[in-house]
Amino acid sequence: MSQFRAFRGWLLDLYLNQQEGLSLWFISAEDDSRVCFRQQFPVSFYASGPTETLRSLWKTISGRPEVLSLSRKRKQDVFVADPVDVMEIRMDSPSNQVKLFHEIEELFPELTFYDADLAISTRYIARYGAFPLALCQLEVDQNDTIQYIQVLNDRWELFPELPPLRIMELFPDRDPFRGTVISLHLRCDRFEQKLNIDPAGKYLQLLDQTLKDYDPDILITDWGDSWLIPFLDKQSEQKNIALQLNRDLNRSVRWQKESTYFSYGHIIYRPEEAHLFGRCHIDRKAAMMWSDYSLDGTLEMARVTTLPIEKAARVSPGQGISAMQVITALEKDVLVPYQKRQVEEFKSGLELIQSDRGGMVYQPITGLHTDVAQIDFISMYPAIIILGNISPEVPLPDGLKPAHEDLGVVPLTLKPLYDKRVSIKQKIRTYPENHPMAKKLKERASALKWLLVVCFGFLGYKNARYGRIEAHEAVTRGGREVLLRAKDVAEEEGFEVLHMYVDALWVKKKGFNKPEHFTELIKKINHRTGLTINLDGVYRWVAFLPSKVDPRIPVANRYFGVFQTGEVKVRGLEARRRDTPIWIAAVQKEMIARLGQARTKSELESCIQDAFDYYQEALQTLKAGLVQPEQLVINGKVSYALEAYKASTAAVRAARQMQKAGMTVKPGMRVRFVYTIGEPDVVAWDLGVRVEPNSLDLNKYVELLIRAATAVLIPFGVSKDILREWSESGGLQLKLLPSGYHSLTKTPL
Amino acid sequence: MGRTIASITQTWQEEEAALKRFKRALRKEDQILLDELLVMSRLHLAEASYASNLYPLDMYLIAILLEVYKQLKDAQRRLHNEEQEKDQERVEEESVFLKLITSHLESKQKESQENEPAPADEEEAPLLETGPTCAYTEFEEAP
Repeated sequence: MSQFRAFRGWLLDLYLNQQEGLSLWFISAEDDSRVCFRQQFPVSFYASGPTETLRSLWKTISGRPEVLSLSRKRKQDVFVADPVDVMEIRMDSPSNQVKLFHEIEELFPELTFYDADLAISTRYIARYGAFPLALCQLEVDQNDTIQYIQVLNDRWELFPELPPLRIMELFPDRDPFRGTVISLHLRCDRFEQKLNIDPAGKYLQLLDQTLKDYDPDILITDWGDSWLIPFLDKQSEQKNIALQLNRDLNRSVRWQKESTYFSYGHIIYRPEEAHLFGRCHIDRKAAMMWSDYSLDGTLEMARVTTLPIEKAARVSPGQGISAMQVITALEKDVLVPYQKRQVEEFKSGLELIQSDRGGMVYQPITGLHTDVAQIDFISMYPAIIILGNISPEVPLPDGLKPAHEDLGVVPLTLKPLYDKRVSIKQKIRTYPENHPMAKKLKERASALKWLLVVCFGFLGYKNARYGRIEAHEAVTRGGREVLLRAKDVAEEEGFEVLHMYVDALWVKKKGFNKPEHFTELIKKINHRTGLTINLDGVYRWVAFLPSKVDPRIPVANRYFGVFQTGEVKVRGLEARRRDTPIWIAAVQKEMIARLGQARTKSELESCIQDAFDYYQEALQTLKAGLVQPEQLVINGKVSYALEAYKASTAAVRAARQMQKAGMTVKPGMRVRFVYTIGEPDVVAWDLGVRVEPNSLDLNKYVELLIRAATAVLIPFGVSKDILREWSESGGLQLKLLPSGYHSLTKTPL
Repeated sequence: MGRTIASITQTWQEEEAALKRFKRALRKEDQILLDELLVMSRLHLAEASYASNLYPLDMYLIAILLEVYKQLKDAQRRLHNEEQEKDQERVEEESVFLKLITSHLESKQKESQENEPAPADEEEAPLLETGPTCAYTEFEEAP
């Protein structure tokens, strides 16, 4: 009889274990049980440098019990043409590897280290191919230690066999920073339970019991990181009632420190994170992309990036792409440098001016246009990276033509990701619009899209392991070339190019108003560029808006229009901004929706009247004080420490109120506030102070409403001044001008 | 955000700032015109960026020239169209006048034919016998 037993199941969680190396939680494919196994996991890292220094390193660490072996090897450094001589240091466990590395890094700073700071999940997949939710076949000994593991599916499968996950939702009945929470809602599958927060702490007992009975794999919370889990922890301690949130009973909640960082021109604040062992905690309010791709997208992200589910939900896609690149390097048996040593190559001033450029952003022809097609390149930058084989370690392409045959680390990482996204998008088209499967696939495609997007950004990020500014520049250079080729083709075919924006073109031609009219153009652009361009849609009409400051100057990304399908597209307007009060955004959206009813230019006349009537009603409602303060909350942001501000904006004044009340305000944090009459002129919403509707500074909100309405009406000749004049004196009606555009004139009193 | 080279919009703003003193010294009506010229240069920022010229001001000046030339061509086209319309009107007026003369001459000829006896076969043909295909009609078609 074999001394090992077989097990088949999905990998859910994996973490370091001080004694045995790794702890791995599986969901059994046979009996739905959740099982924890352990595994010995010796790891290696490498050092290279002068022979004498390597010799003294050998003298320092040889003979230590945690060091299994020391040997000389020749391995490939990704940035060096020839293999390098390295010392392989083989360690008994990942935790001992981390300790030893930090020790010798201080002792021998002149050495170059490789594979020294890799995440455990990355090492594991590189060795065994196992990733979150991978279906695995195991052989386990009598001590529950894994002796053999085989992965039965891969990360790129479109419809992998997935485990039946047990999901529990736990959330407070209100925003805990706005009021006192009375109860918690507990939801498991179709069952929902309200837990009143009672002084005796019965709700804690009930919650603990439910966690034991239902034994969820994923715990989804609202404000779990910032309020709920700290609150439950504290209550459990104060009332001396046990509450075990972890599946691994020997562990307590692991707290990851808060942080503030700079990304794509924004300062972002990430609060403290509560991580669990054996099950995953996802805080919807802290999950960066939850609104974009929800749970299905998060699980897809975890599968393809191999990041643990809890991490995949919270971190930016950049960390995911970084992990994937390391895996590609490890799979190619290429060393992963601990610190990047490549610096920017020397460039002359002119070379710098020519190369330090982004995508092409044109100034559109402002105003209203009918029968316009929008065509977009599918994932343009990733496609250029793959087509041109752009990677930091290989020669860069001349234009779009690759200079090297074998794919580099970056295109090699991107290709399966790009192919998977294209396949998922094709699959989506086979389902009806509102089919639940289409929704799931869209969420998964969205997660992959973000990974592809940041991959380009990471090429130019100085701290990225596989970043190189010249490679980043080669991508934008390719993007400009591709867009200009597309413009050439469109103009050769007799189209008028109204606008171009990095990877998209807006074109029109007399008599062309059906999707099939643009097929030939698309085919020709595909042929000329080697990239795939796609028809985003044909607009019934689209309006490109001018600058708010100077109406003579066009703005690249401020437009709205209606596709022939009736779908409204809005970019750069107040309704899309996070700081716009929800009521103002709703009024603007409704005005656009009313304009969107028009199927032809002639129908627009009555629709403009309709949109304008709606604005009138909204204005009267606002002036009458009938809009509730919570609908008028402005979602501002502070980007720096409050002391650094010389001029105080409304958001800063609100943030200072919060600080005075003892609340923490960190750079990058969102600050919600309302405008009020008198002093203070703003009230921070999160102070929890009741704001009466009659204390709101309605003039400020009228101004915001006028601004939002002007954006919608300006393509029809209605300027901000006309709207303001009307708002102050009342009574306007629409009058059709000979040009077909509309103007507002005062009605006789 | 960590730029080595100023963006094209930044360079445009620098050039605009450099004109500040010049603009201040201008007469009010010229200041307005200068503003309009500067707006024209902003319409081609993407192209100026792509050009990556060491002196971006050159590109802005070309952009202004381009836009001014566009307006000039447009004005020329409109002027040309107006002249064509006038010519057309004149041709129409002349054609009405010619028709009147022709019909007048025809009626005169008819009258004289009715009053005189029929000419003998060997007699010379009358001077104005060609009728509607006479030289006046050809003249009418000439413009």
